[in-house]
Amino acid sequence: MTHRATGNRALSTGALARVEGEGAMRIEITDGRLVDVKLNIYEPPRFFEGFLRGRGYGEPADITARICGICPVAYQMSACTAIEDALGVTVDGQLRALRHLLYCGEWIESHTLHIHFLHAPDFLGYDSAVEMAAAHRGVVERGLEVKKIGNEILETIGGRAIHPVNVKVGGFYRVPARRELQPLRDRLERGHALALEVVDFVAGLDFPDQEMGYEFVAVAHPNEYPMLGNRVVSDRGLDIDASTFLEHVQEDHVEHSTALHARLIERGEYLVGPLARYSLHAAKLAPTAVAAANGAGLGTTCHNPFRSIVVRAVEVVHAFETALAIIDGYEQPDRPDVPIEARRGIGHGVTEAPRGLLYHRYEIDDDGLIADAVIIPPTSQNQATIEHDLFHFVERHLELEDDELRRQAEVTIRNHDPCISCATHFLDLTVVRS
Amino acid sequence: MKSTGVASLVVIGVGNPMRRDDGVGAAAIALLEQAEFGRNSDAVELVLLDGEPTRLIEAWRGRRRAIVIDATRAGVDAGAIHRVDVAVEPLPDWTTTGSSHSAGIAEAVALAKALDSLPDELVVFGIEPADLSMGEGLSPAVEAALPALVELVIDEARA
Repeated sequence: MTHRATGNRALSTGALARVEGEGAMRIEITDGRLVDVKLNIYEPPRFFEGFLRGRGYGEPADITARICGICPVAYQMSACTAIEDALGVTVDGQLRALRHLLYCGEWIESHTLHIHFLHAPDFLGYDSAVEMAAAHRGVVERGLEVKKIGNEILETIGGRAIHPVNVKVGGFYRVPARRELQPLRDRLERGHALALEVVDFVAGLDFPDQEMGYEFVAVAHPNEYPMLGNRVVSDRGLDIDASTFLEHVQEDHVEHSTALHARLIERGEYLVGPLARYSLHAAKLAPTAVAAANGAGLGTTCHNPFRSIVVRAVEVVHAFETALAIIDGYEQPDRPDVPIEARRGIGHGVTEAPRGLLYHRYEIDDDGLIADAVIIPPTSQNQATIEHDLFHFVERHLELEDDELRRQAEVTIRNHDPCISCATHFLDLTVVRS
Repeated sequence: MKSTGVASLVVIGVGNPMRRDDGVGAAAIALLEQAEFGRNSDAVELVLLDGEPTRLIEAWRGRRRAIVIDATRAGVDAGAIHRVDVAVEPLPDWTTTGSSHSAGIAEAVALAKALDSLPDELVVFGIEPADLSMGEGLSPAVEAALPALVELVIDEARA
C-alpha cells in the first residue's frame, strides 16, 4: 500500500490485464489540487496507415483486421465500405445482410468479454474475473457460453474464429447455403435467452450516480440500430455524410500522447460507443432489446458511463435478435461478391465497432493501389472524453490513497472499454503529488 | 476422444504476426503444418489464437493435453526457449509481466483453474523475443530458434 506524500512521487503499475491494449496514465496533484490528468494510449492504426500505402485495394480488409483481435470485423467492414465507396461499388441485399450478421457475432463476443471479464468484477468488488469466478461461477460460465456463440457466427460466416478470412472487397469469398445456417440458428436461440438473463444480472448491479454531459456521436441508418451505415449524427445537431467526416472532425497531436485526439471542429470532445448509439438510436433496437432496456430501467438516453455495462448487455440481446432475423430472411445469393474494377478514387467508410464509430478513408490510384489511408478508431475519438471523465473523478477523490485512486481511475477508463491494440496488456499509471 | 469429435491434444500458437517476434507462435504452427504434423490424425489439432484468455480456455477445454507456444519475456537471450509444465509447477513471473500475451496465458490458466477447465496436461513453451514492435517478420535470433522449438513441440506431443 502506498500513501500520500508531500514530496514528488511517482507510482507505476505492473501489468494491468483488464484494459485491452497498452496505455499509460499520469495524474498530477499540486498542493492538494488536481492539476492535470493525461492519458496516453498507444495506437497501432498509425502504423497501419503507413503499412497499407502501395498495397492493392483488396489487401486492407485482411491487414487491418489484424489491428485488433477483439474487433477484426469492424476493421474489415469499415475498410471494405470505404474501398467500395472509392471504387463506386455498392454491396447490398443478402451480401450486406451477411456482413450485418458477421458484425452481430463480433458485438456479441466483444461486449460479452467486456461485461463479464473486464467490467463486472469492478461492480462486484473483485480485482479480476478470476477472483469473481470463484464466487460467481454460474455468471462467468454463462458469459463464456454467450461469447462462444458469438464466436460461432464468426466461424460460420467469417471462416475462422479470429481474424476472419472470408471477407473481401465486394462481399465474401464464399457464402453459406441457407441450410448451413440452421445449426447456427439453434445456437443463437439459446444465446438470445442467455443474453436476456445477462441483462437482468447487470441491471441489478449498483451504479454510482454520475451523469456526464457528453456529446454523443454515432453512425446512423434510416431504420437500423447502427452497425453499418453511411451517415454520422450527434445529439447536438451534427448530421453529415461519411464522406465529409474529416471536414467535421479534427485530429490533434497532443504532446503527451502518441495517439491523436479527435475533436469535433468548433465543438470539442465527444463520445462514441454504446452510450452514444443507445442515446441516439434506442428506438431502433430490436423489440426484445427494447423490452430488456425498459426492464433494466434504462431511459431513452444514458449519460452514466458506469451504466454502459447495461447498454452493452442490451446491445447483445439486439445482436442476437438481429442475427436470428437475418438468418430467417436469408436466401443464398447467386454470387458471393459484386464484380469490381480497379479505378482511381477516394472513399470513406464508417461502421460501428463494438466500442464505437470506426472511420476509414482510402485514396486509390489508377493501378488499384492504396495511395493514402486514414484510420480513426473509436478509442482515439474517446480519448479526450475519457481524460475529462478521469479529471472529473480524480478531482472529487483526492483524499483516496494512491492504490485506491489508481484502482478507481482504472474503473473510470474501463467504463469506455478502450480496446487499443489487443496485442498487449498494460496500463502504466503515474501519480505525481507535489 | 474421437467419438466426441474433439482431438485429445491441441497445439495452440499464440500471438500477433503483425508484432514481429510476437508472431513466433503462428510461425511455429505454420512449420508444424508444413511438416504435416498431426495430419490425418483425429487426435491432434493445431490452433492459432491471439492470446485472449477466454479463447485459450475454449481451445483447451475438454482436451486431455494442450501445448501453448508464445513469445514470453523472461529477460534472457533472445531466442531462448522455456518450458513450463503447468500441472507440476506454477507459472513463473515471466508469464505475467513484460510480454504481450503471456498475461493472457497466466490469466487463462488462473481462470481455467477456477472453472475446473484445465486439461490434464498443459505445457507452455515460451520464446524470448528480441523485437515486439509493429511489423511483419521474426528477428534473426527468434527465426534461428524456430526449428529447435518445433522439434521440442513435436517431442512433447509424442511423449
